[in-house]
Amino acid sequence: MEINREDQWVADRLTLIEPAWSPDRVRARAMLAAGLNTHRRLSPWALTAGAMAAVCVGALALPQTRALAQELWTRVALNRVEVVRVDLSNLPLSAHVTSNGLEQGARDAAEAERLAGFKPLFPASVLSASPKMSVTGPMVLEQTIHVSDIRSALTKLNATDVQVPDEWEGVTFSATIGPMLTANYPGEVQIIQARPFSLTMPTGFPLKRFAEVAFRSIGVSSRDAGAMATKFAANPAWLVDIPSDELVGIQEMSLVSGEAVLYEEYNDNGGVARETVILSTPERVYAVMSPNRDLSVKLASALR
Amino acid sequence: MAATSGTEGVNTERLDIVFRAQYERIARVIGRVIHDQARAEELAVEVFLKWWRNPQAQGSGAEGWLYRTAVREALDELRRHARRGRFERLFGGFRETPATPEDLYSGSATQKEVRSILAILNGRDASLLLLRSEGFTYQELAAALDVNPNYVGSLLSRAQDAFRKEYIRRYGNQS
Repeated sequence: MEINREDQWVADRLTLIEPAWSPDRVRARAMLAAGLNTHRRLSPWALTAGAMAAVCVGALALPQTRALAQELWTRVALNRVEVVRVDLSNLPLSAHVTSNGLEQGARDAAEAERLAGFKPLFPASVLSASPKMSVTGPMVLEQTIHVSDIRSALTKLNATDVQVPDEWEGVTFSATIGPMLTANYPGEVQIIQARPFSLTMPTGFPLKRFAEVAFRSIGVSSRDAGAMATKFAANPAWLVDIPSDELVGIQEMSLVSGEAVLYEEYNDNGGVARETVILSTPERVYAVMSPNRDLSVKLASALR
Repeated sequence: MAATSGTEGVNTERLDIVFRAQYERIARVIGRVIHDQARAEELAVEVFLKWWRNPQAQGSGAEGWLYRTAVREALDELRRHARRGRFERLFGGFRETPATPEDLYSGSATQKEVRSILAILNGRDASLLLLRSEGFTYQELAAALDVNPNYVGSLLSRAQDAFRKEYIRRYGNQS
């Protein structure tokens, strides 16, 4: 029988994700009734998920001189975007959020500006519709180095040549993200904008060296890790981390509004599912999403 | 729910019948992918609303349409959140409270691993595995995924192979 060929090992793992809860039919009925009379509603987190995903960030920066480091101690602006084909989520760092980044709806642009703390730009010359707006954050994220975790990760990868100094234990980085303003337009068009993120770090900490070790701890080769860390040192950037096995199209482009990266996602049939342009300027970072490449580029170009 | 939607082409009584028959199972299928009950139930309701608004989905294959859409919506949501997780973590994984959206969506570490593999499999493989684990028979799988019932066993076997290989490649054989 065919069923005997089924893989028990796989079945056992899939059992682990069986819901521990029972569906709440009463609540569902209420949502269904509400949905029959309203447009599709997304949960607060889901509203910004798509765009935030595209702006997924890893932040590492190295001040060029001690004087610069002193000056930038409290806030290093990361306003350049770079795509790296690694999965930064595997980095062996301990992290937590010190504010929860709650989302607030905004009735109009004035309220959105008040909540976000900056004047938003909208591509009014391309889209005349009024977007549905919300503001998320700010979120403050702290990440702490635990030497034993990094050493353990390196050991698993047989990266025995990498040394992790004891004095790195407990060093904490703090990143401030947002507030981020999300504008949803009809036709699955979404624009997120925020001030450049900032990173706070201990002055004098050998961040280039740390970056190299961190990249090695997630499996980046010695040569590539060194090159990537050096690049950060020269010019701090947001890292859009896309694992090498994730099928996406990536293209750097110069728009009249600034430097941008086009991030193209595909569906299961190989068709384009979404086109995201991540645009960085000295004052803002934008993520512009739509189902159409030309439209995303046009919208991003109009943000000036 | 007795009103009729003139523009969307179906009486809500039919929606009510389909909802009563399929909601719990749809919610559970989505709940396998989305750990957070509230969001899983929201998505399940959205699936029914999409069905209601799509006359072409309301023929004899309505049930299959519902399950295909449910799995696709759940996996899309999971993928979105996986990407968002990378954004929020900056360069590491959240391991402490308060719970992040990704915690809500992914659950425990092992559950997260299982879901992450489902998220990167192709849609049909992931659907086969999810629905089979929810207790679908081969006939039900064939109907839900619109495939020849004679091929379900082979397709399922391939899906399991794909899952196993990808899981071991990423996380090792931790049995």
